[in-house]
Amino acid sequence: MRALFLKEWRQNYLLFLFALIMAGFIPGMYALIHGTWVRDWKDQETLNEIVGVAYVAVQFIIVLFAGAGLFAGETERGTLPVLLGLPLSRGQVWLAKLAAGLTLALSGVAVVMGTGLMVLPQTTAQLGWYTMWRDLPLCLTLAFLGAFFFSAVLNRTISALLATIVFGLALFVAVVFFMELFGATLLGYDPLVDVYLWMVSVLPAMLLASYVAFARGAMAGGRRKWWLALVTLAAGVFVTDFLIIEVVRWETRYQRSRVEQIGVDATTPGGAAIGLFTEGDLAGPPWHAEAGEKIRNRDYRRQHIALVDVQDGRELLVRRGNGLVAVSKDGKVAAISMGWPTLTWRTTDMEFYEMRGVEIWDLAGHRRLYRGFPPKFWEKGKLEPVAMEWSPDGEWLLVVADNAWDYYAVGSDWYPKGTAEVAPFHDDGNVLLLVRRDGSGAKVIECHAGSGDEKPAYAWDLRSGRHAVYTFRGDGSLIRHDLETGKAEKVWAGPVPAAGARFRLQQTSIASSPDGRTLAVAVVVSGYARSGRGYDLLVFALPTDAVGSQPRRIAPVAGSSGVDGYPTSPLRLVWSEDGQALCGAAVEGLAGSDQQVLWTMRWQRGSLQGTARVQRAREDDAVHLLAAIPHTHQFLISTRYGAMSLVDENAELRDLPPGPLGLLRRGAELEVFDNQGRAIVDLSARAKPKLAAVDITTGKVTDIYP
Amino acid sequence: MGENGYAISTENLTMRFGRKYALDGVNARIPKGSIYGLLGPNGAGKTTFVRVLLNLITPTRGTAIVLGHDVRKDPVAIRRRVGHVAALQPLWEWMTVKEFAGLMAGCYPRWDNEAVRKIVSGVGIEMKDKIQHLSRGQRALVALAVAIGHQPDLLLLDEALTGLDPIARREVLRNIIDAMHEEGRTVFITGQDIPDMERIIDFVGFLVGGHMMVEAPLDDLKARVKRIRVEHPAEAQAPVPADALNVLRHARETAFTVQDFSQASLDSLAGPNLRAEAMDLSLEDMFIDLAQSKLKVEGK
Repeated sequence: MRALFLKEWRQNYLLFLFALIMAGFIPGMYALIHGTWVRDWKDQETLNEIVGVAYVAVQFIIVLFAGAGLFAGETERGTLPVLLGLPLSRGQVWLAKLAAGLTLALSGVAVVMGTGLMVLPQTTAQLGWYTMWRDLPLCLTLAFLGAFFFSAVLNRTISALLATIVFGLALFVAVVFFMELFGATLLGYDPLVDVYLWMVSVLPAMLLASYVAFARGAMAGGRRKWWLALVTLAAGVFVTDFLIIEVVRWETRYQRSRVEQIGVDATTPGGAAIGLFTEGDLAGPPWHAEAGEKIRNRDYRRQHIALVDVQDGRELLVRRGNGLVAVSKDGKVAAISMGWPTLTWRTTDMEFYEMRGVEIWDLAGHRRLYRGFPPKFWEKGKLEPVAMEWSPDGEWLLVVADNAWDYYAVGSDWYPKGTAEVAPFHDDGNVLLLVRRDGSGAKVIECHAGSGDEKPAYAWDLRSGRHAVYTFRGDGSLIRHDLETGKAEKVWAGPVPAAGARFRLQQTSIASSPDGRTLAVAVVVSGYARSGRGYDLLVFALPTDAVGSQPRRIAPVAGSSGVDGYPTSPLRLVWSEDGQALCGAAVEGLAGSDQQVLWTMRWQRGSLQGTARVQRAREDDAVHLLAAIPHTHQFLISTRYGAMSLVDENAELRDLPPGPLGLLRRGAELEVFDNQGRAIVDLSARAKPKLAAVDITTGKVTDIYP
Repeated sequence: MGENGYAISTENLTMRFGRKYALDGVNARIPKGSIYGLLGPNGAGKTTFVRVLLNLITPTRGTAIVLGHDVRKDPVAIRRRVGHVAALQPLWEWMTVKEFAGLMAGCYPRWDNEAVRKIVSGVGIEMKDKIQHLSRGQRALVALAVAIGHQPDLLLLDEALTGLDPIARREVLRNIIDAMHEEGRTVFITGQDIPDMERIIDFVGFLVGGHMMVEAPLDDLKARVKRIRVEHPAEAQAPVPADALNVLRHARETAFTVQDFSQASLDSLAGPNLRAEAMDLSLEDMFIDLAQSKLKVEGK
């Protein structure tokens, strides 16, 4: 074997010589062009890119030629019988060839890239870390093994080269484009599998197929070699892919004991005994990043949503991924907007989080009633569900879908480092999906909001007894959609009674009073009339008595905001059960920092009795308004620091015993994000997250899950 | 049969390429220490037979035992003890003779480099010569020299003498093959140079259309296969045995070849006005008569 190995090296030393020459030639050409052509940084960038591409191209040439001639060259020269007549098994010959080709390719690539890294680090850095150390090595390995495989199958070196290039392109298109875009939908493969794993799966199959083709097919004549190779390759890919999927499934299986986060955004509606759990790290919110800071990758693979009976901790439904959950009031049906994380080939330092659809499950029978809203490109962009709500009688599900923009572009290669863009960038409408609880009657309503950044808000009509939805649009109009007749009528058309001559709505929230007579609408108004007023937060009431009725302004409950501040958290309004108290969580943008505040309003017979405002002690502590406590005028809130509190109609805050909600746990460290950057607070002394029932009168905590 | 009796023995050896049978139930017994010549027309399956013996290709059916090893089970052990040279075998052109010998030496447990050097220098080739600069015949000699570098117990020469000039061919036959024979090693030759082969081989096999027609010691075959010439009056017919081959009838003479000659059968042909005589056939004539009759039977 050693003699054969040395023979291969001796035979292909010209390739290594080529690598040596290129290692000197590329920097030489760079120096020459740099000295004569480059005038500014743009030219420099262009030159860096060209040289980066040249380095990649040379490496591909080296590995392709190192692999393509190993067997086909022997067939071409007619020396194969001599080789096979040696007292070596075919496995030994195959191994010697593989070892020689690999070392030749590796040393050639090492010489070229090593020189490049040392002499022209700025051009090789142009490739990016992932390209350099993951994508490129993987693709080079694929190229080498592809050439090695086709060399064992075909009789000419040039044929092996061409076949490798064609196969490589086909694989790239098949895996990167086809599998990435349509694999999950059409082929049903597990979208949790990294797209690169599919490419990696080809590697062992190629090795095996090349061995079989050579060991069993060399000199066999006819099509035997082809059949052997293709069947082995197909079987190898199938088996390795199957194994990969199974390993990933096993590795990412739901483990109750490993619950690391308990989601709180979707809570039990109407007291139904169901809670929401997630496993694994959650995505960080789209907070601003400091200049140059990258949002860290997160392991989405372990995320699960588990619907659990909070009475006995029994799991009713476990679905992989993360998303929204809406459980019907009777607790029998649950809607989940599944978010399946995937890696996309375009990204080099981030993972994407893609919402792909909505499912409705019968929890008792554990069967899926509906699956829809597949990946769809609206004319405004890709859609993802951002809110879900059941109709008051639980017959219809309302899904609000918004443009899906990547929230994690900050500091990425897509945008210059240091920019602080926060998606969504171009919201000018939504799409509503309405579907019956049995999965029938699905319909889509497009809601365009006009120009600007306005976001429509939605609420069920609780008064008429009909299945209807109100939408409050960014232009200040209120539309009522009757789901039974399909009719849409404009209940009221602006303007919003805000102070200031010119304004436009920035964000809105809408909530119907329990009797359906009043719609509380919260809007963020960006006013331009007054200097120094960036935003106002207004809350006003819209009677639903008759079409054409006028809104009554409740209060300009928010103060002014500085020019630098703007809302980073959507508004949310919740009525008390008897309709006599209204609570809203909002963000007041002040110069330099955003304040998380709660507003409460006392209400009696349709008229406002008074308002109160409270801010938690920590200025940067985001609050989440969760639900109204039944039979009281109290509202449950949670904070990003993991605490839960109650706020009453007078805006009095009362903290509940410390809870683990809202934490991002990573090992022993719990991370907390603020809205100015990332701050890490060591809360490792806390217990592992768990769901507990809290008696709000006694403060008694009863552990439920896990 | 193991190593004690035969260097090569095959049983119902069959090799099929698609629908075509290159070997069709070949049974061969090649005694150890013999010089065995396998003759056959083009496409008879000789090269396939050799490749199967080295397990370069795996037979479809049947068994082949070479030097006591089954070709399917232990091909490496066979190749370790067998030297092989094929007709006009391409070699690595960029190598020198020394590099080529070095490659081979690295693959065998024992190697006699001096023997190789002696053979190639004997025909004016230097070890440092590049193979691409050698003539066709010189390359064949280099291949042959390297093939016996590991002192094989069995030398397979598949049309290996093709391309050699008569002097070189005579040299090979005299110096190399005779030397191996004297050392008790086995030589297996295929080829078309029947007169040359006839001078050295002691066993012969005729392979036609994938079938082994005849296999016998050369002397036995020569004693058995004879050309019979019968003189008879013009109005008379000579008696011709039913299995006679290559029958030629003239006005007063009839000639044919018999495969199982005996003096008694010759005497039975003689009679009043009939005179029969037996003539020896050359190996080439025997081969042609037998091969033609076989091909005629198969309608080719």
